[in-house]
Amino acid sequence: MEAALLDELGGADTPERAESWRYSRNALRALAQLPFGVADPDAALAPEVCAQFAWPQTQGRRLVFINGRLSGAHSDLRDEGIVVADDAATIRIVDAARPLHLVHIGVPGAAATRWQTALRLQVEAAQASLIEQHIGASGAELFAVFDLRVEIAAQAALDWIALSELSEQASLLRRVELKLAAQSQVRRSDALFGGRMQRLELGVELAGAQARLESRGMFVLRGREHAEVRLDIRHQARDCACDVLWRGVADQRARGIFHGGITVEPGADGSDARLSSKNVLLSALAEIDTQPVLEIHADEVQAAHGATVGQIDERALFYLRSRGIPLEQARRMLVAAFCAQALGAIGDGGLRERIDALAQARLPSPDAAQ
Amino acid sequence: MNPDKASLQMATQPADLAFAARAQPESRGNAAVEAALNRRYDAGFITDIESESLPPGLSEDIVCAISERKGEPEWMTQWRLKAYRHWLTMKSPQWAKLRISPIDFQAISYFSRPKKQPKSLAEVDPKLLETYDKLGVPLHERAKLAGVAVDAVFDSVSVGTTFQKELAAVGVIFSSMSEAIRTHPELVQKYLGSVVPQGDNYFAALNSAVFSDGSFVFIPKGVRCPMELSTYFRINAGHTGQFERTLIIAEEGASVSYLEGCTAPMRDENQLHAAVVELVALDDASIKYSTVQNWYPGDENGVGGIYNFVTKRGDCRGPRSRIVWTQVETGSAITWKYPSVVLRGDDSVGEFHSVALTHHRQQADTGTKMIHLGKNTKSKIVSKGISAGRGQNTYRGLVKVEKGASGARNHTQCDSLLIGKQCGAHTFPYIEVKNPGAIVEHEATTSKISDDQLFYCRSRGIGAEDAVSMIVDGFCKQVFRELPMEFAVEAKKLLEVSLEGAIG
Repeated sequence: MEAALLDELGGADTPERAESWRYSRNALRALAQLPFGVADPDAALAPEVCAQFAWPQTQGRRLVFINGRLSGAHSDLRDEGIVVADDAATIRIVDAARPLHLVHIGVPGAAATRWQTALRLQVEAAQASLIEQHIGASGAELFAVFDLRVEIAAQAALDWIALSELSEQASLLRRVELKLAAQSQVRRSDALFGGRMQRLELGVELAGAQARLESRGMFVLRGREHAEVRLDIRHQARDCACDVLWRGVADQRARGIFHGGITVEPGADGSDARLSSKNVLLSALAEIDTQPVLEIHADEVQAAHGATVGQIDERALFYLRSRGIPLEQARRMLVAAFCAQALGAIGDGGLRERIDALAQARLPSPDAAQ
Repeated sequence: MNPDKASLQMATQPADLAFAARAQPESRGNAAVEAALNRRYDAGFITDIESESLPPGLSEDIVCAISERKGEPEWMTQWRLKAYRHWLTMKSPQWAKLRISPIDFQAISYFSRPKKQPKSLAEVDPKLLETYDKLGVPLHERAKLAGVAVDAVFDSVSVGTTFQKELAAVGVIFSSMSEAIRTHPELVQKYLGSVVPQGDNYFAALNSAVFSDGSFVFIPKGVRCPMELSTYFRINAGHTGQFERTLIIAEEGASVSYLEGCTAPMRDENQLHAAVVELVALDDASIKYSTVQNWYPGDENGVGGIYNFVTKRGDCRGPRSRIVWTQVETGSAITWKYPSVVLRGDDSVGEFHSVALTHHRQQADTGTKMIHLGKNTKSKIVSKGISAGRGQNTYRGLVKVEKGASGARNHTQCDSLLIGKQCGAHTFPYIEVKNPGAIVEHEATTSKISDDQLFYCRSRGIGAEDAVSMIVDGFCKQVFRELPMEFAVEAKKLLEVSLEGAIG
């Protein structure tokens, strides 16, 4: 079982896939050694877990999956603009003014369990929006693999917020394949919190002319958490654009990995690609690895990327202290502001505040430091 | 000539051809590009000189035979055999973004040298001297004028080293590796393989087993080397590979600047050049290593050319030591190398400045590794990649800050320039940081020479070709500035020759 899991997920098949697990292979190997059983899709939800997703603003447009299977009891769908087909394997957003709330919950069993599921999403609405939420409840070890294929029709637009809140025992591998037709747009904002091992593979094909992707995201890690984000953005048609901005924070013994790959294929002239990855290390035992990659095969291209790993700006810290703010609080403020740079694209104020609060809660508290 | 006439003449230069060609969407600039891209490779001649070679193939016997021909002591033979046995257990690496036709290691002759073995420079075959003369390398009386000490390596052996006596007077040892193994075995034994161990990687292991010659430089404590040292590598014989090994040691407070140049004849086969360069800088020492690489790049269809697979690494062993790599890579069918610095000593500094140009079907996968181990270590990387024709140019680098390297600082700047529709420019930087006190920054941009820039130059009466050359020169300036003067001139000339007419 463990060897098979390693081979299947860890990409032993090609050197490129093997290389893509360079920083997470050990975490995956440790995970693969657990004796996993099959997770129970009929598991009951604790009230505090329900509270994590039962938001009033998404009532009537919520689909809840428990351990990979759609739960009729917790889902609540009354919007005609959203069509669930193929035994819940395909979801179509045909006409939607308000966001679809997709919730995936991992509920642990008595011993280590795992589940795996796949979903297809088709966006045909001119102005769709989606909230993708992953919750990994605490308890025994739980390992989820989630495959998602998203197709954006020509001239459609999707505003997409993806949030993962995992307990220390929960692991999640997300493989998202996103394909954009001509003149379509996707704006995705990611927030990754927690997890024994979480990995987000976001593959994007800018397949039609003038397709546009904006990717914003952050991870805030502590304890022994391990998170990896891998973007693979492929410009395949003329005049496509991508704009990527990610922020990472690692504290205690955590490890954060960011890989931002942008490929401009032959013929994709007029491409515009920007990427920024900035990271802050808060502890001597934490580690950040970042890798902004550009592969350019066309010549009418504007491409730039930048990456930094460092600490909080000493001058900003000094400024705040000179205004009477204690050192630890000043540091916290600056890290919070650093993360907030990645949240700017989230239009829903309530949700932005919620994510901001989650991030803040994971930063070292001034009380603990004193 | 009256000024109006001059500008009129300029306007009828190939610039207009290119402009006219660009106006047609089908062949935008192609006609002009095609016409002028077939650049000449000046160093492509073959010297007709009698040479003796070992038969092709690789085995323990061959390794022993190389060692025996060079009259090496037993420990050296054993060192080679250990490397060979390790190499047998290794596989050729696949991770690079390169298309390499398989290398038949049994078809290569691992040792070739001119038959007549000169005892001193005065006895060197005139034909050989002529070769170096043609290449513009000062070996004989010209050397005195040039003021640069040269070690000339022809196929597998060093044919002459100049200024040895003058250097010895200040305690500097500058000789071929073979000579150093005989005359200073204790130094060679102490440092050889201490930066690049025998089993470091596939091609380093191969080199350790079969290396033929190379330079050995030792700068004793407190000595500032009084002149530039240089090595000129020439591959001449066919069906051979060149496997040289260079070792430079700068003791406490010493400093040296070393230049390296290389050429090969035009042949239809791919010849393998797998070198290892090791630099050791002790406390407060400084080593500057500059390369102008102009191996035969193959023809416009990608036939022939040198496979340049090189392991170069410097070890800043002592506090406040400094190692600077500067490279201008215009030759070779495939360049695959990452001159690196291990920043072990506190406050040590590593720098890497590179210009890599790929044209026709050339491929380059090059960059650097900066490994920060000591406190307050600093590194700087400036990489400029130029791709033209069907050239593929990849920057691949690693900046690693280990736990103990508090206060470490790195800045990387990595720019690519595209000339043409079919070329590629790629950037693969790896940044790994384990210390919260470190600051690592990476910036990269990719762009083509814009029509606006060209138009501006043309409006000022500068022909399109000169304009491209000027823009490229400006793009590379930051790196050329780091080169010693003689090399800077040569590097600039090389780029100009390579890019004649290459307007995108």
